[in-house]
Amino acid sequence: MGAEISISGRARRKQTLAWLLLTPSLILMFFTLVLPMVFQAVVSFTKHNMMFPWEKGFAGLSNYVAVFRDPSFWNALRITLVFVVGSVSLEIILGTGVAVALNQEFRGRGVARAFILIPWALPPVVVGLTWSWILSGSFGVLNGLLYELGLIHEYIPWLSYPRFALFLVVLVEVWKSMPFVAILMLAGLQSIPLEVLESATVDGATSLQRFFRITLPLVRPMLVVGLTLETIWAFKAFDLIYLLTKGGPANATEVLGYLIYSEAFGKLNFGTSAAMSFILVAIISILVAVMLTSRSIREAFILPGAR
Amino acid sequence: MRKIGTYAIILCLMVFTLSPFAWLLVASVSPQSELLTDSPRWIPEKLTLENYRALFTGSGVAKGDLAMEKSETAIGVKNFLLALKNSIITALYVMLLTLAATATGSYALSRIKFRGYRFCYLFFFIIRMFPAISVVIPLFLIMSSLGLINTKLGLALSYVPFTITLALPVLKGYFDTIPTELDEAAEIDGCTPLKMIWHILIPLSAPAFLAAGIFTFTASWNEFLFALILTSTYSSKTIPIALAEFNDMYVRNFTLTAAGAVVSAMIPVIFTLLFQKFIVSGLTSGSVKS
Repeated sequence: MGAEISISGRARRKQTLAWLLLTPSLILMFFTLVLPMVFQAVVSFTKHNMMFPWEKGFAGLSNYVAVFRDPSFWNALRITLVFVVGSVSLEIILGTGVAVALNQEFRGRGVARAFILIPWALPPVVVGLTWSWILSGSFGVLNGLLYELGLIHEYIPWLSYPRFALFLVVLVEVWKSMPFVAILMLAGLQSIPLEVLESATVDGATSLQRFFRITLPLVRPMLVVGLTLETIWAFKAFDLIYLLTKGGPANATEVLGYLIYSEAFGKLNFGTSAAMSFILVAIISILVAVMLTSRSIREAFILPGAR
Repeated sequence: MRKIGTYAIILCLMVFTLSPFAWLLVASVSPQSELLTDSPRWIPEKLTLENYRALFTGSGVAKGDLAMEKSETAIGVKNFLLALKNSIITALYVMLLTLAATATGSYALSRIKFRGYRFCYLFFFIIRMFPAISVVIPLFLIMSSLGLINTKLGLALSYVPFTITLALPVLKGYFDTIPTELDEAAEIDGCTPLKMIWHILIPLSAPAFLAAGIFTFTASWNEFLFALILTSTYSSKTIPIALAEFNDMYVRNFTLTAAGAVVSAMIPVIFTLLFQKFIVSGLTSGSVKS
């Protein structure tokens, strides 16, 4: 009798201790994340436009209605989707290809593997500034290079063409993030035992067959993690767009994140900006819920429901 | 034949990946007189350190290009070193808060199979997904009322939730590799858990703390959005903001801004080159077997 009670007492104390130890983290997260989110939710239901400061008070769903009626919201949604799908798929495909290349034997392999991460390591500010200069229509190096090669006869303002600007923004994002996927997939490739591939070759498999039937399934965990992380990062994109195009030209690169920013700090309409924020959070939550149905993701990030 | 193909691919790859950064380096040691030419050269006539000297002495900027010199709060060359200091101090605050919170939190997640631990992971996973833009405006209002705007501590506090999600998997993963026999021996000797963490676990986990510290420092160093919104004075603006303002201020003087960019890129690049191994395992929560 006595032994049972003391054991469960100790177990309970351990449980309490665990939560106590996590308290600092949880408190910090609560005040700097949860609280603002709640506040944001409240603001999204009020009229809070600094341009019309006399209009205050509860506004019900009118902010949300205004957002759904706003064509720039749908534009931003479309652009965000193009941006995310475009950049993530390119990152995964190119990154995997690069990983395969880096997995080969060649001189200078160590150096290549180390230096390839540099774009990813650079602060986003540096990436944004560097590329905006390279692509500059007045003094950009890209123009200079193409001119010297005789491919163009006058400087082209690359970022001034709406659809091309979106393509370029995706390109810069891919340039920056692809190395991470490459290194991730490289780690996955290196964990494949050579014997498996060798015995497949002996059995007569071509290199394509080996790749699609053995290699890819074995690196699936890494692929899943890479896909997840890159998708999250793509949705959060703000810095690059702020520095490269500021959402332009003609809102062609205005992703949802940037629209939220310009609605609040450009138009000073905090109410609708808050509503948009919430919609973005809702979209991401749906994405997260979908992700959670995948067993690979649950296992990779140790989430509820994993075996 | 195959070898040539491989080398060709690797060469193209390296050129594509590194040439923008290489150009940045070259631009930073180009003379400012290059501004006046319309055709940029990528190998300048002469190399010079005048841009770096301007950054570190606060003077020596080419004339005729000071679009915002009169601005009261923009960071110009005079205040670049101040921005550097702000970035370092903010990053150190972030490191301190994050490592302290995650040391105890990781111990709990690693050592104690408590009920709801998977929900903790879920919570942290969701935090990681969070778009900063959704939080920054109400955060601004809250910090404003607490008087934490334009302070390095306020900025640091805003980074902490995200850096905690970076540091926790690293520390927890490493703690997992430390045998629990050590815990039991300490308990028999009468050690409280906190003492055990401080005297035994932490010294043994130095590599993990190093990795977590580097992630945290780098995340804070690189961060742009929160710094943009939560700071507006010299005494708190960090390097990323300073660089963006440089670009507006010294519009065509990209050699000067390039030097600033190189300075600010140095720390993250060096850390990444040195600690590559940790990066993959840390960001994949150390759970995918390698």
